[in-house]
Amino acid sequence: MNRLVLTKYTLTSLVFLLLWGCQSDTRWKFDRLIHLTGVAPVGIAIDQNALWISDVQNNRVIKLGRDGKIIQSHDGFQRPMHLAVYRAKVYVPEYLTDTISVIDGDTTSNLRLSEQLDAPGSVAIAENTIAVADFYNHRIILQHNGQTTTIGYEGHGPGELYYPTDVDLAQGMVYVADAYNNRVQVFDTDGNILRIVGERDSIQVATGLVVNQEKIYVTDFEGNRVLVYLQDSLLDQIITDSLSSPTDIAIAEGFMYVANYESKTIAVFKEQ
Amino acid sequence: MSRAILIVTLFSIMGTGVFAQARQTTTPEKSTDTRLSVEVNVHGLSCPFCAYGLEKKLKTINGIDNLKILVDKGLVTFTLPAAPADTASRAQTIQKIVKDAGFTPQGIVFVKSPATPEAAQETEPQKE
Repeated sequence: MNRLVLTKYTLTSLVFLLLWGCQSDTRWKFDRLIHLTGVAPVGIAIDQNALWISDVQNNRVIKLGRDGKIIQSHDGFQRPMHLAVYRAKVYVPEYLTDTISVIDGDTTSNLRLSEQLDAPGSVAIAENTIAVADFYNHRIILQHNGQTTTIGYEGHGPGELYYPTDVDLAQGMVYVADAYNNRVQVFDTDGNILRIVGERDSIQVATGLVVNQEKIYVTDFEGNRVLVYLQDSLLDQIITDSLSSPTDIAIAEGFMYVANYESKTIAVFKEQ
Repeated sequence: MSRAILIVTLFSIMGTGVFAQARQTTTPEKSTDTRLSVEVNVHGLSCPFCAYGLEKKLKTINGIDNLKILVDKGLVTFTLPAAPADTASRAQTIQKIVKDAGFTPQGIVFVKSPATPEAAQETEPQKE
């Protein structure tokens, strides 16, 4: 009997140590809220010391200082969604016009894509690669070195997508916020499914994501959470402080910025 | 005497011009009177991707105007030209668009402008 209790105790300790050992050393802690008067934020991206926000309700893209003050306002977009910043250019998917606009200083141009989109929700840019979340076509458009690949099609199985809202490129892989399948899917650039993340974590609409070398960050819009995963898909942290209908995340220099659609705020977290 | 007649005639012409201008400015108001206001209750209208996706799809309807998506109320409102008068077939078109946009329409109300209780007609589509 005693041996049985001892074995159970040992096993429990081992599982605890294993899980503890799998978690990362860093943690995100709530720092402050940036209030955005009259702004309905959906997308957020970082460019050096500025935050770029898509203000979907007012059809504009704004540039904020990290103190929350508006530095620039670019008007006339048609429902701008998840942004990307790459080499000082801001890429803006316009939901109503099925186009990707590029803000380069004072000029705005259109990015040429070979596929017809239906409500682009997000754009991601990396070296020679452009990825677009094509919301109503339930797919990702990937243009790599001038060649176009489509990833996914409507469905709920592995490799299938259901209203994808965000996409990111990292380490040669394509990360997709598979919004209404409540998960993240990871593909290679040929469109092969590599793994599924967060399927068992009761995500209620995975609207936004950002990926860095160590981790995958996902916004749970209806669940008012940000879920942080290690690259091997293990859940590392769940963040709930000051989140209200979060739509997107940006990370830089030990700070994480989360766009809160409902409260019209940016929640700032600091790496501990 | 003839000078007096000339002055009266000139004032008459100017008056007619002013009157004509006033009539022109009231014409657009008259045209809005004949539009049909539509209210659609939509279940599951919460995230911006859904709400503005529905906006995108509804904008394909001919003559649609004043489109508003009220996320908190789960309500979409817009106006359409009054003609054609067949609201049943229009309701079918709206239902299809709402369903194609990924939603379940809960009910469509047509109100002829200016709104009168008699003008209201409601359709209750089948729930998914």
